[in-house]
Amino acid sequence: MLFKNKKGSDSLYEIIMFIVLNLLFFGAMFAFVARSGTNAGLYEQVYSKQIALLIDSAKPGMVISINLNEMKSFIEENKLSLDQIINLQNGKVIVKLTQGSKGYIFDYFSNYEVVKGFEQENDNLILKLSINKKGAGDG
Amino acid sequence: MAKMSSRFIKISGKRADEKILSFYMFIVWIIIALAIVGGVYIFYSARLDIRNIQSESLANNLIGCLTEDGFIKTKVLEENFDVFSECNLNKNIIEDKREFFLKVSFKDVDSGQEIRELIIAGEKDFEIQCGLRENAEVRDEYAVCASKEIYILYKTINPQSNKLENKKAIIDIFTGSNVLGGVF
Repeated sequence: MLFKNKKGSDSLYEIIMFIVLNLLFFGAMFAFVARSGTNAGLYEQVYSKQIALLIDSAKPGMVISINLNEMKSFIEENKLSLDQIINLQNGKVIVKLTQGSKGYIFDYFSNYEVVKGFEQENDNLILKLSINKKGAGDG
Repeated sequence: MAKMSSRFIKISGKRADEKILSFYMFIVWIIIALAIVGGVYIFYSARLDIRNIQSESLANNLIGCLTEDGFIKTKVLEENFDVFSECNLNKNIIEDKREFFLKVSFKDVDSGQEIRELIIAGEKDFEIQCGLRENAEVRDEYAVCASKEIYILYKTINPQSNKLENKKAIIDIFTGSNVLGGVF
């Protein structure tokens, strides 16, 4: 009977639309902030810089261990292989945590041969970097 | 007024509408959305600047490879000394990409004379940029530098007695980095 009243039905329709639009808007805002909060880009930047600094301060013969537990969720969500997430080539550290992205690239000044490996230790994902001397000056 | 519809209120002879879904509501939503997106973008686009740590690290690396047991390594004072091979430095990154700068001077403490020529590599402009950082308004794209001075001994042949003797030297190391990193 309520909808027989034209003004009343208009008002109710308007209120329902208002609530639906509000839910959509604030839902979208919440989703955006939640998605930004996971921030793969920030982790890519942090890990690439951390690894570059560790390599630069290392001496030949050292083995550097880095805990990658914070990366686990990205690896599982984006179905990335361990070899894909961290790459070391020509004095660059490249960390990639999302499919299709080029990853964050950061240069280091040392000219070592760096051998990477991954280990699982008590539920911890560990990156092992072996620092070895190589033929100098060949970039 | 009592007969008037509840949806309209008469103010100063004009009819004010109580509409909930109004144009202004969408304007307010756009403003809120822009504020949230802008805030998130500014927060997450902040760069983690580690150029000062890299410069320090390069300076420490140089100290470690130029000296040994409190003495300047003898091969450092030889003419054909190659800082890149001796200090495990990547020539491609330092010289070609020009993301680093290093300058090392060796002076005898007593005479003040240079005991070997300067070791310079990388982007020479960093020295000027870092000078400007100290004196003028800082620009973020300028390099960040580190400077270290160490007193050390070196072995040299005394021209009068023709004997090997230890002398005091000062090594002045100036390094700079402008590695910003990013997604290329």
